[in-house]
Amino acid sequence: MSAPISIRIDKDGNVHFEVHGVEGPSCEKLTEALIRATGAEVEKSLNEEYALERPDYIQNFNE
Amino acid sequence: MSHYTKVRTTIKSETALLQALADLGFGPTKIKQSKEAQQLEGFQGDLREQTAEIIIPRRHVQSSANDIGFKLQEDGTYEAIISDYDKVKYNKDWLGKLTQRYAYNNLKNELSDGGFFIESESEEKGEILMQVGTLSTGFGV
Repeated sequence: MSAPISIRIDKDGNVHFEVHGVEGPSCEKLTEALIRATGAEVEKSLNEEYALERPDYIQNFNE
Repeated sequence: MSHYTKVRTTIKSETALLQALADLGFGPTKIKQSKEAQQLEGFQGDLREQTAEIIIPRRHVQSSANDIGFKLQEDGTYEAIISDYDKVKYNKDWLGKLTQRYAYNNLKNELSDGGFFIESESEEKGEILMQVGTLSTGFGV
């Protein structure tokens, strides 16, 4: 038996999950399992040490 | 009912990072890797104070380039070290593509271990789309 899950990885590498047909605690459990599986839960990304000024997209992560 | 979740990808897996670099043209023969961080080389062969465990040697980066490094941080994530000169080519878009390929490879590597399987995958407008099912019946489906 399967639970269809749509995953979209956008141009910045952000992962978007869409879980269909699962509600309540089961949905949360499935979502947590997905996040565990991807290891992508920390809200940070690659940045650049050399830059004197960090670009906007990096500064936004820390706000 | 659908549930949406957005997660921001962080580079943690060395394996998936190397796969992502290979996807962007920096396969094993164009990567220098070491357990202990090594100093990066500048465009004249000079050693820089910055160090990294995973390095794209400058000869593979572009003409008159500096090494590009990926430095393992205390929190287990990798940080890209790119000189100002090389950031013109290896810019936000390149880092985005690298992060995207990392997320894709990491998903493929980890999903099967997590009780999931990939039903289909495609690419559309620069985004990667995947349909994933679960082998487990423990999700109330």
